Amino acid sequence: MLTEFFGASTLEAILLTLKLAFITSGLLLLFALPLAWFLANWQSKAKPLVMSILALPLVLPPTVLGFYLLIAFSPQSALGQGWQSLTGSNLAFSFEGLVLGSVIYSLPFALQPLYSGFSQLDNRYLDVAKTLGFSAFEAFIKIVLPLSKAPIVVALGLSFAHTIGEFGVVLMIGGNIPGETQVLSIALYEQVEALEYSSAHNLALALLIFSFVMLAALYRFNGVTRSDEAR
Amino acid sequence: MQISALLPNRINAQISLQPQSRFIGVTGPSGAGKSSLFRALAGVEKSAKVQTPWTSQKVGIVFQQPMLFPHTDVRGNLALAQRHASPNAMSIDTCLRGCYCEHLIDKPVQALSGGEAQRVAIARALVNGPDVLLLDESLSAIDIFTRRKIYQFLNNLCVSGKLICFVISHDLDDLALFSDELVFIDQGRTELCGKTRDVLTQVFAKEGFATPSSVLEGLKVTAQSEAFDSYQSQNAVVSYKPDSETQQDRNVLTIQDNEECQSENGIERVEVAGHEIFVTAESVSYLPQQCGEQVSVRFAVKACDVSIDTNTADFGNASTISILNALPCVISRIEPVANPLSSLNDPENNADTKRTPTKLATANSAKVLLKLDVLNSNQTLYASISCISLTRLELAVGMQVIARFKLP
Repeated sequence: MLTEFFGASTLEAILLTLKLAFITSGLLLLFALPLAWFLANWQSKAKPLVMSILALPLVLPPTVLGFYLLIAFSPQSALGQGWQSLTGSNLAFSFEGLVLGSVIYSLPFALQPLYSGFSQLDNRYLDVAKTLGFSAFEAFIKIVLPLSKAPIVVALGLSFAHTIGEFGVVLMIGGNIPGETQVLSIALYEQVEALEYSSAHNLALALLIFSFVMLAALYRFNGVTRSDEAR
Repeated sequence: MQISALLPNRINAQISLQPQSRFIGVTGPSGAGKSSLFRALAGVEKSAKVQTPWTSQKVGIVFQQPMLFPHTDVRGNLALAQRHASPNAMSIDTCLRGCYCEHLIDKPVQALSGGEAQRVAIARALVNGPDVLLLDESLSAIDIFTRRKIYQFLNNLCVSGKLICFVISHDLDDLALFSDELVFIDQGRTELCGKTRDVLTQVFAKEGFATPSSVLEGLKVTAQSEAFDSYQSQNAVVSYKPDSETQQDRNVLTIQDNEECQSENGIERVEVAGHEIFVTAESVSYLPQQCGEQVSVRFAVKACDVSIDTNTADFGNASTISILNALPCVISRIEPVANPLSSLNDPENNADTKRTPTKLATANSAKVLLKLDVLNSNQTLYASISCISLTRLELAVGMQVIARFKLP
C-alpha cells in the first residue's frame, strides 16, 4: 500500500531517511549527554566561546556548513584521508558522511535541551546522593538521567525530527544518490524539479503530518512531565 | 571533639565539644552560616577546609527541603539509600517506624505533604546508616508532637551510641530539651559553644527573650525506684493526698505504680534536687548513662509556665491549685522583660533593645524575669511574672520562694 502511495524510489528514500534519523539521534544522545553535563557544570571564561561554536549550526546557513564539511570530507583533507585509509571508501557522498554531517548539523538541537535541563537540576539531589554513598558516575546514571527524562526525550525528538527535515547540508555532502544519500527532502526536491506534483504532494503531506505529530507528542510529553513535577 | 570549618568569605567556625556529647544543637540568626557549616561538614562544599574527628565515618545530611528523588516513590527512595548502606545500618522498617512514616511507604513523592516528606527524608538518611547525621532544619514542617517523638527516637540512637546528631533549629525549646551541647553561630563564626543550659542562658540574655526556657535534669523515677507507693490506689490512675506530711509525699500526687498505666497517662516522674517532678512523656529526653545507673533525663520549663509562691511553709500542701510541680528556689536575679510593643513604637530604642534588655526602662515593662537557683542543686529556673506580682509579693534577690510550674 505504501509502495502504491509513495512509489518504490520514494519509499526507499523514506527508509533511508528513517535509518539516518535513528542513527543520528542515537549517536547524538550518546555524545550530547556527557557533553551537556560537562558544560552545565563547567565554570570558565571560555564557556561562552565554546557554547557559541556548538550552537553555530542553529544560525549558520546549511549550505555554508555543508560547504566546509564537503571540504573536510574530501580525500585531500586529513579527515577524508584518514577515513579512506581506514575504510577504503570516500567519506563525501557516502551514507557514513551523511551520518557525520547530520550529527554535527543537529548537535545543538540535542545539546540545548539537555544543557538547559541539567542546568536547572537542583544540585542538592547530587549532594544527597553523594552523602548516601553514590559515586559521581552512579549518581549520574541513577539520579540525573531519571530526573532528566523530559529533556532527554525532547533532545531525542528534536534531533530526530531535524534530521528527517534536513536538506542543505545533505545536498552539499551527500548529493543525490538513490539508496545511498537520497533522503526525503532531496527526493521531494527532485520530484518538484521533474514536475511530479502528485508524488510531491503525497510526500510533502506525509512530512507535514509527521512533523506535526512529532511536535505535538513532544509538547504533550513535556506538559505531562511538568504537571507531574508541580504536583 | 574539635571541629573546624573554613569556607572563604562565608564561615570560619571552630567548635569544641565534649567527647561524650552525641546530640548537638546548632542555632543562630538567619544567614549566619549554619547551613554552609553543615554543607561543609557533609563534604559537599568543594572549597571548604574541614577538620573533624570522624574523617573515616559516614556523614548523612538532611536539608530543610527534603530533596526526595521525585522520579521514584518513597520505597524507591529508601531502596536507593540502602544501596550503599553501612553494614550496621537499621532496617527500612525500623527507620520508618522511628520517623512515623510507615504508612507512606507506597506513596509517590509528589503526594507527600511538607512534613511527611521531611519524615521520609530523615528515614532515608537513617536507612543509609550514617555515623553522623546533620539535620538542617529538617523537622521544621512537622507538627510538634510527631517532631518531639522523632527527636526522641534520634536521641535514643545517640544515647545508645549508634549516632552523633547535629541539629540546626530555631526552636530553642526543642534544642533545650534534646541537646547535650549547643552551638550559637553568628556571621559565620562560633559565638557560643558549650553545655546547653549555659549557652541558652547567654543566648536569652543576648537576644533579649521575654520567656526563655530553662533546662532541668534529673533521675527518672521508675517502678523499681519508687519509694512512696504505700498510698497508691489500685483503681484510680491519680489519687490525691491532701494530708501527706512526709518528705516523700511532698508532691501531693501519687501515680499508680504501673508502667503501663504511666504510659497510658503519658506522664513521667523525675527526681530533681530530691523533689519529684511530673513531666509529660513527650517532653522528656534521655541522657547517656552507664550500665546499671539510674536513668537520667532532661526536660525544659518555659519561664511563662513558672509561678512564684512565697509561702514556703506549705511546700507540700498546695492543695487548692492545679499546678503539680514545685521546687524550692532562691531568687538570684530580677530583670525587666523587653516590651515588644513599646520597643516597636520607639524607633530610637529599636537598635539596641533587642540585644540589651537590661537597658530597658522598667516603666516600659509589664513583666520581670526572675532567675531562680534551685535549692540543693546547681540548676536554674526562669520565671516570668508581672510587675504587679513583683511588688505585691515584695520579691527581692536572695529571697527563698517556691517555684510552681505545670507539667512541661
